[in-house]
Amino acid sequence: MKKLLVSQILALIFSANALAKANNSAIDITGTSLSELFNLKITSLSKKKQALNKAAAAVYVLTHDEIDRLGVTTIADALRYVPGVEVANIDASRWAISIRGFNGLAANKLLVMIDGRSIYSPLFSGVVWAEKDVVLADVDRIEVIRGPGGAIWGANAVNGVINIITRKAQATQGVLLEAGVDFKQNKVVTARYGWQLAQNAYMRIYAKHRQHDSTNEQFSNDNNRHNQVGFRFDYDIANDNALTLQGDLYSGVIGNVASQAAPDGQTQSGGNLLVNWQFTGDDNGQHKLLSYYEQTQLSVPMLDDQREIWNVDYQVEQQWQQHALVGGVGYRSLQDQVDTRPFDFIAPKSRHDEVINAFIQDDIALLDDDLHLIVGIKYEHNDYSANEWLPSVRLSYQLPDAMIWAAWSKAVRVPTRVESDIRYGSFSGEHLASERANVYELGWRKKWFDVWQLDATAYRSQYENLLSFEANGYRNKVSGKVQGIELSNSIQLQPSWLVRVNLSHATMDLSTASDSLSPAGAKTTQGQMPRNTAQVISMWDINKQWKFNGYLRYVDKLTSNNIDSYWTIDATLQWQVTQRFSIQLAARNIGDGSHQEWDALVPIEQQVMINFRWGI
Amino acid sequence: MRQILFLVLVFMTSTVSAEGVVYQIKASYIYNFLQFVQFSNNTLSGEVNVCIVGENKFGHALDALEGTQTPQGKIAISMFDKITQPMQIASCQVLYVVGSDIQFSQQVLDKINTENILTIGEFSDFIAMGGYIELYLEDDSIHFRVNRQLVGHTQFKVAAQLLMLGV
Repeated sequence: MKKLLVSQILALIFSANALAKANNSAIDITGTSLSELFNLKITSLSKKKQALNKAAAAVYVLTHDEIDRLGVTTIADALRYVPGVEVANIDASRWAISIRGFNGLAANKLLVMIDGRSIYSPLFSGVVWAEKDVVLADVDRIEVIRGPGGAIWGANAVNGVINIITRKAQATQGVLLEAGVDFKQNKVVTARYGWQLAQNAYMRIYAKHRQHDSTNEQFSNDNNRHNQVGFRFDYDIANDNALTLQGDLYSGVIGNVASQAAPDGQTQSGGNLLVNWQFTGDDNGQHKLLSYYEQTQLSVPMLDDQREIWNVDYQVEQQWQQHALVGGVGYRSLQDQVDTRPFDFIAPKSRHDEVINAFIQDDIALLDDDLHLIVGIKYEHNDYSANEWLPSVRLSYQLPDAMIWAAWSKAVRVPTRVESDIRYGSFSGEHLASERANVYELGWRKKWFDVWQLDATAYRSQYENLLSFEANGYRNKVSGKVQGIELSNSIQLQPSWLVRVNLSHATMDLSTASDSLSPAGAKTTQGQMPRNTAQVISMWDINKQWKFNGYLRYVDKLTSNNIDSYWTIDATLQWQVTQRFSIQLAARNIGDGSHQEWDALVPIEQQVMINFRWGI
Repeated sequence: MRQILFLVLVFMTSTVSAEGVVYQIKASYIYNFLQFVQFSNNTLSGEVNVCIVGENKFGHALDALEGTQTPQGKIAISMFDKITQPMQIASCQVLYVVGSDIQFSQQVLDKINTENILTIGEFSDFIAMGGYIELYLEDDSIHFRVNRQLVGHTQFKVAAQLLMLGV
């Protein structure tokens, strides 16, 4: 099986080579609209001499064009194409997504944001992926940092940060209709309309519906339906003075919500409103003000949660001699009502919490800009663990066609509402403290002949105070380390053909205090991280009308979940029939039958989806 | 919001220079402008003559335009590195002046009637000198503005949509 797949993908890659046509254009000259042209960034389109990614961190960006051509319909599917992100489909509606281990339905060491709005759940830890959605055609890029980002983003950015950034309304003008269906009656339908309201003021509105049938008859309660509407308004008040207002409303259900007496499904609904104002002051400082309000309702077996979040962040960037300074302050208010059934196990039922934070970072350019020292610290006060200090020191050095960087960071994960406030008999979460990590990273980027770029990162994360289950409640009696190496290669074999090869290897070694009852739990966590992963992604523009992508993926076994290692292939063929109409055929999980990814009882099956898109 | 760490240049899928990209974008603008312009009948022969005056910095970007259909006919491109005879450009419907040489641009504009030919330039005084559309660099993007004084006084008609987009 494995050999067969490797030879298949090689054949696929090398036949492409023979046919690839030289097409040197960075844009589609006759297929790009005025509003798109207006927003094209020259530097990001050109491969300059210093085209190496200059961040002193393990950063990866999935671009709009890539998201577009991959035919993905969920954020989770898009994240499968990012090196180092562990994405496992639990069932038709749920995902386990993490970076550098500790994965699970509630993977709690990864911070995820949409346009700066955190979608990390303060109730459970992690992200409830089933209730978070965007119109992928309107996503500008997905930025992913592997490793801690606490010095800027605060608590819970322990192992990584993902920021999903949507396009400005100028870039999404006109009508877009998308419909995707696969042979198992899974459907995704999107409609978006963008128009100009006034000079420099643009608007878009959208509606998205998706539904997925249950995986199979044995496991029949993972079917889902999700509806979402939203808008984005962008107003360029003046040069370097831009205002964005955006919001979404959603409602969804997973499984059969049978009755109040025996609920077995999940329902979710909510909405958010966000305002983002960015302007350059007279002092040339760049000011950013981000504020949002969010309301969510989530109902899972045994628990109903209603929640309101109000968040405001202010940030200013200022260049002073060779110092690039960034500082900011933030405030967050959370009001919730958590009802459990049939018996009470959360106390208090209603809670109001506040988080305040302040951070500062100085990026000092030395040796003619070749050496950068980046020092930052964030202070956060929250009602669960009181004061948290999150420092980070980074160093980068530029060499000809190469760069090396090193970093040390401290990160914490703060106990969440259900962990901290669990009260059931003698079992309590009141003594739970924050989880802590000390992370050392070393990176190297190198470019050869404008064709091949390598991004290599080695890391060692030391964890203390990890959550443990004890007789009388949650405690922090697990500690240990994760170390690994991540390689990502980007190889431009032809102007029209790009291949990415990503490899990772990691080991996790956790131990428990001698009086802890959690050795088994620690072992489970250890066995939920794949030791090795490999990705080969091929993106080929056959000509102006046709695009073909192939994706071969290997994920090592997860011993704790009884999941075997697997190889699988995705392939997408896109045909731009006319300037306004395209058809895409997306096949996922092609291989020798189905495979398991997280739950040994749930097979993840082949999927062939056909997507139609009209842009008017 | 906090994208400080993301001041990055992404590994790109194309091996083109910044200037290459700029002129590809500009070529795409020319193509887009033509979708919004209606030339008067007497100048039309089933083809839209686009003249590029000055050094050709477009490379192969214009190849994509040559022969392409627009509402006004197929695009035909002519290159002039300099203009000695005004007759040479008499049949141009669109005239693109490459570069930011003010003297040269003035000479070109003096030789033609800007009310008959859609003129496009790429430096900041082009409109002040009587040109119709000026492409300019802002915020790492190419934007354009339209000469408001010429609007309504030209032989060709420009759709309101384009005028609204041109700041």
